[in-house]
Amino acid sequence: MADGRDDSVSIAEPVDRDRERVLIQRASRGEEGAFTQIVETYRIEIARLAGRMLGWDPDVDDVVQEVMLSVYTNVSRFHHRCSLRSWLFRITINKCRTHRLRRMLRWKRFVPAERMAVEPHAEAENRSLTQERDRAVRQAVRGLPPRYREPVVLRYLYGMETPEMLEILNIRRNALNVRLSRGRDLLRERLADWVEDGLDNSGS
Amino acid sequence: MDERLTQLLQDADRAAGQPQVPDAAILAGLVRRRYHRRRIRQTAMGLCAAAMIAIVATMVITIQVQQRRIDRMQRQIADLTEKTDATVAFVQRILNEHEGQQRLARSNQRLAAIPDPMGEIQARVDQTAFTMLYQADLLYKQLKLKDSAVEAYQRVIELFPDNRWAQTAKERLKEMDEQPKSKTKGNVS
Repeated sequence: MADGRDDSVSIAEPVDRDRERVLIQRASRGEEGAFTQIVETYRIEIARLAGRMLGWDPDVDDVVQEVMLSVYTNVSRFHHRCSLRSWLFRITINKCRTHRLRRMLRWKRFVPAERMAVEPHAEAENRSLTQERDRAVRQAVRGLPPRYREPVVLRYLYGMETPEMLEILNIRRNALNVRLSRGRDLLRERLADWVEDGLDNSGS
Repeated sequence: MDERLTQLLQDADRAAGQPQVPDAAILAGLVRRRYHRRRIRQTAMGLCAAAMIAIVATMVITIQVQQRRIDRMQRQIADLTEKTDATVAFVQRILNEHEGQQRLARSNQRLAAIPDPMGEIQARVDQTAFTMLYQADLLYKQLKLKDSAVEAYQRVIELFPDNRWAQTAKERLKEMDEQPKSKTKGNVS
């Protein structure tokens, strides 16, 4: 688990396509063991994706359960047009959108807008520079509109290529390129100090 | 620059740590329970919807049945009203006829109370004929005026040929013809 890209490889590829097909067929027939195996294989990755999509929200139980419930209900409709992982990613992203919407409606009722999307953290003087930088990066990603955050997370934390992202996000290539570009620009703008600082350090 | 951004993001992600996820068996159990609860809820909602539809359908059918009954009763009331009107009209006609008959009977009674003019005339004629016969008798028997008497009897016969006094007048003339001719005192006419 060296980085996000490595994570995606290490967790996403434990089941090859043939075994995956058999697993899906068994789960479609209602075999509880097969479903438990799917849960076992993908639960951490789904939780991690949900956490990333929701701005590193540690409380992703509901989303994970919703995703698994959707898999349990619709596994018989999975026709292997894409990989099980891509399917699970698509479901997770959709559930995250729903979760965000629900949370937004709930917060709008009970929480002032300025308190939204603020990461709880230790006092500033106790934080190291690295911690400060990581917090700023997460804050910047969390501050992106969801339509920009989704492609940015998939590209920079999962190292996905365009075809797989198109499959998961279910949007047109032009829209994906535009969103990715704008998300990247926004991040560069918000993290300008850290990006330049890093470049300077690497250059020196 | 993209690599720097990637590095920043991956570092921040790694520093955030992993979200806590329940054990696979527990998570699978939770999902199955939620699935069954959802099925039960969906079934219950379906049953409720079916019950609601059944209730509404029953209400609609009941209303339709009631409406049909009301329509039938209204038709019966209309028929009864029509029959009643016809009966009332019939009774009215009967009453009118009865009243007409009563009026006719009263008219007949009133008419019957009026004396018969022909009888009256006949009585007058009879009386006139008798008077003329009496005068003729007076001429013949008291005054002995035979010619005048004959003339008076003939006038009775001529004027009242069908009257009984005409018959009497004829008998008198016959008696006079059978009697021997006697000297008359004179002729009035």
